[in-house]
Amino acid sequence: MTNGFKSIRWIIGLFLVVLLAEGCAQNLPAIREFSQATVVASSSFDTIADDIPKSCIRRVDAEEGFKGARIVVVDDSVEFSKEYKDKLSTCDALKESLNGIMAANGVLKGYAQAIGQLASDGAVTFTSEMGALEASLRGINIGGDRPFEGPKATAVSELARFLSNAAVRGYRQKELKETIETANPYLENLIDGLIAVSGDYQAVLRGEEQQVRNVQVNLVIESEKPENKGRIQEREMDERLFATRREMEIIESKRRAVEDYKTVLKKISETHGELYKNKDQLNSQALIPLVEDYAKQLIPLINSIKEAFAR
Amino acid sequence: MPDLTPDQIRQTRDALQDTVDQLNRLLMAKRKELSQDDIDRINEAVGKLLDASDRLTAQAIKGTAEEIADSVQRIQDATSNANHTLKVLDSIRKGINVAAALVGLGAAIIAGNPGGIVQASAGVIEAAWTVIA
Repeated sequence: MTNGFKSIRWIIGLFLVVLLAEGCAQNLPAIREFSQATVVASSSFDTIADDIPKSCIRRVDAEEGFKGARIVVVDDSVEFSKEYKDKLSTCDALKESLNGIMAANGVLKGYAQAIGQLASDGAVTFTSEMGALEASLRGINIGGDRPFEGPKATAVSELARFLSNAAVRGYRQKELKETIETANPYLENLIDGLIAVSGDYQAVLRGEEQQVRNVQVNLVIESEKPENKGRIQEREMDERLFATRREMEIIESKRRAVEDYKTVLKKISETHGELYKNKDQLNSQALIPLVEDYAKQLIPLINSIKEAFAR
Repeated sequence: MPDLTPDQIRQTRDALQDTVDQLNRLLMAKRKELSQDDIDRINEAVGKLLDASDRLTAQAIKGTAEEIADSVQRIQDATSNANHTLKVLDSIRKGINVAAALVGLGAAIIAGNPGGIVQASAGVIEAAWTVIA
């Protein structure tokens, strides 16, 4: 009787430990929200990086196209001029310079994806596997005796499910905490680098806009020449000036979108700081709305980036 | 002379672009007084300054990537840790499958059912294979 009582106490104790572990390490929505928003945001950086050399090419085309100096005819063959090719080499240099920073952005994306997967309950739930174990237990038949028939099989597999869930969730919590701790001191530096390069993109766009402005001023100068005062010439000039105005508008909307993107990056850094501060209570009720708010703020900013680049 | 930092390169580039703004403004404001030669010279200067500005930007981007390389490596290490944990969790999942298959095999052996033993053995091999693979 005493032994039986001890066993019951042991089982109750075990269940209490399991339930406590379950209570402090369940879903981790704050990390999943952070992960999803960061993955989307880092994809926007690829769009920005892709447009850096393209903006340079548009600038060169605007300059050389206005001069009419892009093409030469050599031995009945139409070729790009040496001047045009030399100018494009600058754009090639810009493209090459991006390799390291794009890799850095890929690391940020990979990090966000990894902690998001780790925070997902799918990583630590073994429902179908436990179902298979239960089915195997039910199938045991020793000389007509079925020791795990009916509720007994369910009870054993439920206990196994509780124990394994508690163990792996505790392990997951510990590893997530360590991962966030390791990354946090370096994340701000990486993000500052991405912010700096986003600023560089704004500068490349500024250069493109300045070249278009230069073409625009030259068109105004040409339009004021007496030989261009005819109705057809005026209509043609209006068309070309209208095109420069439109181009400048598009460039401006991209520059504004990049400003928004820099805000997105700053928020990623700040929110990761909050995760770090709360690393011992990653499912804290205070942390969840804070990160949800972060995700909510990101969506319109990322949409404005998509809109600017869809034009 | 020591190399310029990415931030110093950016300051130089911004100064070049400020000059371009001034040249464009000058061209617009004085367009009726300038000769065609002067206009051509200003246009040439604008093109060269913008070209130099993009070259400086390329240097600044490269320098930034070098500056943050160590941080990127540390975050890569943290990511590897998280991915390792995911693998461990997945191997636990596979381990449960092996256990379930072994229970089936044990039951078949105890029951002395040759057909069941063959079938259960195949199940154990299949479950074990996913662990090895």
